[in-house]
Amino acid sequence: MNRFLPISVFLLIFSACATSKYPNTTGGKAIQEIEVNSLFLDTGTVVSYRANIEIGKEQLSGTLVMRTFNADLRRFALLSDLGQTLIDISIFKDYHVLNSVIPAMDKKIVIKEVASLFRTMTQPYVSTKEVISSNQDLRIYEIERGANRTFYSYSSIDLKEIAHYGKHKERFKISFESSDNQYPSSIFLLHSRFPLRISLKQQNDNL
Amino acid sequence: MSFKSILSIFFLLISVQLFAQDRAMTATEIAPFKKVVSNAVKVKTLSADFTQYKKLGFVDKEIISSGKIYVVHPEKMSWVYSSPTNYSMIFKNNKIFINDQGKKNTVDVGKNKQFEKISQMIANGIAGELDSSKDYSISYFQNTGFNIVQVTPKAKDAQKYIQQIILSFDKKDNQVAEIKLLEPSKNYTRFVLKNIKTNQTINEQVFAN
Repeated sequence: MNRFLPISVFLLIFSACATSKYPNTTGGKAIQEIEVNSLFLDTGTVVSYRANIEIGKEQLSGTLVMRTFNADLRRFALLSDLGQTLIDISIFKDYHVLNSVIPAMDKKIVIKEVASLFRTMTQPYVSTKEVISSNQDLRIYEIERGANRTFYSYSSIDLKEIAHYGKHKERFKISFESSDNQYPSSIFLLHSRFPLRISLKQQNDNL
Repeated sequence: MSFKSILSIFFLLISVQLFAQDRAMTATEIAPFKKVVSNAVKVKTLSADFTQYKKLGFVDKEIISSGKIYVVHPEKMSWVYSSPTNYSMIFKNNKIFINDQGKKNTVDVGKNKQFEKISQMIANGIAGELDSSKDYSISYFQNTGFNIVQVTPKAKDAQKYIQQIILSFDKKDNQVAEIKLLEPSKNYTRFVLKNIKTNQTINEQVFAN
């Protein structure tokens, strides 16, 4: 359980520089409303991912279980390999509810960051702005929520990457593989401010 | 002590079935039962197939993992998952050596005080030290097929991690039939062992890092 203490330490004290501009873009244009991130919409379905997490020099692994309840609510539980529930959290569009968490992870900044990651990964939003990319194979849509900006990068109809920016800097990126269905086979989360890297691979044969 | 405790947790994991309508044991039933449990730790080696069932409140079905377990009591244990992914944990020398599909990692068990306390509760239970202490309380129940020991931590820090450990002993062979770890959230994990072989030679290769 002490393995999770570094999460709090790193999130509290570590900060690194990151670019403030989405790379390889040259401005944008207004478009008609379009829904971005239509993954994870199938209500009732439970999906399980093998999770490998690197926090600085620490590594841990386990299982991430996720369920979409309705248009607004997704619920996540991260389990250790021996089955212990590390965190169980309900994510809504604008807030979250913490159902349970082990004491070693029970830090406000950790919970807030976990909620932000999962919300960005799974919630659909409406965009009215397309960003012009130098890569003509990509279509990039931007949304603004408060001081945050999020960019959704599509190749054809497949969502390939979500990049989430704070007021001035990139906060994290989420990449998807095989996103040709509701649930990507692989997901990679890379935090720009903290030394946090998460790899998720779908493994539904345990459900 | 902590490492022995950890090995002991898994050492007597044997199939699990808990039934409703448990009733408290009487004092005259508890004494012979303790003696049976104490004899169980004389097993020196154990190998078995295991199935791990995880229950989450928001998922209808239990989440299932499985593999094989090898134990040389009390020195070492190898816990090898084969489904849904290949993954192994080797417990020896106060460390856990993890091999996640070729990616290796080591965890120092001695630094984890809460895990040590919880492990000790289980170890004491299956070693026959079934009296309540300052760290935990113990209750005895039984039903048609099983004798049941409920270990409840007293320390608030420990209670934040685990609400209760429930050990079920099969009345047919007097072995631990199930270990269920109940979390404060009411989620639980239960472990079932099958094809158990005791006191047979185990290939040392299964304990290689």
